[in-house]
Amino acid sequence: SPEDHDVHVNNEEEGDTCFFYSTKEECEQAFGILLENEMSYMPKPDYVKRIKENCFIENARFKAIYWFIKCQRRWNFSFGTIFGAASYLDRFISLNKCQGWRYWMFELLSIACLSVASKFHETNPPQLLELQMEGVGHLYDPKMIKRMELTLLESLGWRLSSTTPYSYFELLQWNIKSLKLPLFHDFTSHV
Amino acid sequence: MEKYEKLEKVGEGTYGKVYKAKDKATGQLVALKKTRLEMDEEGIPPTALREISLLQMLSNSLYIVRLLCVEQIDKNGKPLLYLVFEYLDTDLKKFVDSHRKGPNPRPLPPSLIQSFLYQLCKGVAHCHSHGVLHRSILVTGPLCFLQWDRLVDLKPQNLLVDKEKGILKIADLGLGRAFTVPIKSYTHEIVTLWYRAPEVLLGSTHYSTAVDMWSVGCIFAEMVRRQALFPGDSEFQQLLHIFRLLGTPTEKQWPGVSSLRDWHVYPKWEPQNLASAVPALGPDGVDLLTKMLQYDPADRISAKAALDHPYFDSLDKSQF
Repeated sequence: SPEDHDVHVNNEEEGDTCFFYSTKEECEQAFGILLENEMSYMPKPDYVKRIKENCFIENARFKAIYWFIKCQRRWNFSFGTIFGAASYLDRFISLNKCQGWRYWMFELLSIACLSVASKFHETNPPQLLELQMEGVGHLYDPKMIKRMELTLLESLGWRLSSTTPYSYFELLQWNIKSLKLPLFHDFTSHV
Repeated sequence: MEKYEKLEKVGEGTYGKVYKAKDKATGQLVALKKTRLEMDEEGIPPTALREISLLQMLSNSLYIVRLLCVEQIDKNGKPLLYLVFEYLDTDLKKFVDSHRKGPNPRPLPPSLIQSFLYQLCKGVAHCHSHGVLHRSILVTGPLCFLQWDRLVDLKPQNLLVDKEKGILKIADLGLGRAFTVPIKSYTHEIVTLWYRAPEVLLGSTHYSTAVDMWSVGCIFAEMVRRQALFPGDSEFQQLLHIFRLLGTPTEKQWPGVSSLRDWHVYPKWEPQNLASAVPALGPDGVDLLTKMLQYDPADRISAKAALDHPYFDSLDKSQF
């Protein structure tokens, strides 16, 4: 949350050790790494086309993303979590692992994606049972979610720090924030 | 796990046994690290998930031991994870030891020290640049997950060496905690303080990547001397070792030092000539070492800047 970040904002005048991107060089370096890694976190090139051909997957994916957004509001997740979950979902589908799936399997997959993303990004991720309170069709046993989590992680090769559009936004945001706090508030109030 | 043939147990890390093994299909040698994933009702623990993922991300450098894959097996209903790493035949501690004792004691060749230090700085620079990117994950995690001194725990035991090819790689990145069985780590693991930066010893809570460069400096000196530069056996003794050689730090030298949490009044030692501690090292080497062992973390050289230091001018960098 923005409040958390404020605590760590670089304050060189006070001689504090700086967190986040404190110099222009560091910022450029971070941008370079994002660009360099972006492609390796993408679904396969024909992903969009394939998804459009499969009505069921397209629909299930839409519902999953809609559910992520609802959960973001409910749990006040960072957007990094939501973009991360969507990235895991797309990468998993793109590996062609969902052929012949039923809808509940998709639900289970979306829970695993969001659970993994929240564990990766959030300080206090909600419990698996809590996570399902926000309107999923079925209630899944934590053991089952656990197994889905492992399947997901294995399929993604445990590579969770996806470069997403939000990564660039976040970098920009921190960069502006470290420049001038009033300017930052002005900027965020327009977003 | 039928893919691998276990050859021998090569170690018992803080987080489980380590085996040398062979990939049956390719013949490739690997290091298998068994971890017991403590899964409760909440599925995979966030620490494990973050650590494996960060390790995976960092290990795309030539100077970091590569995590080849993560294998999971189910043993009596308990999930077990094996981390499969590339295998290197020795570590820097054993390598330096073999030059100090044994049948043929001799100094490490200066060109090898230079090359090892360059590779070490490359690896550290890689971790630091990615650390910058993932600082948000590093500092906001549970219990301030992955403080800098833990992400890269730099000590000779954690630097793996391929003797034939003259390659050095950083191992054991941050894997200390997620898989540590607490009781075991308290009784068996001797935490080494020898490479710990003074700001950490003095209880600073906000430390940066500069702590790693202090460790790199200590490792550099150790390769030249074939023995540790600051072999303290308690935090207090560790500080005294440092102060006796480099002088007791002053406010002028390191603004804010006397307000650090664990600062006490220490005897006022004068700085000694650092070159006398590393007699075999030339002036460029001593200059680089001096820059790595600066008291004020803000004055300490960065890994990236170290790579451009004149000490490496005579090194053929095209091979890296």
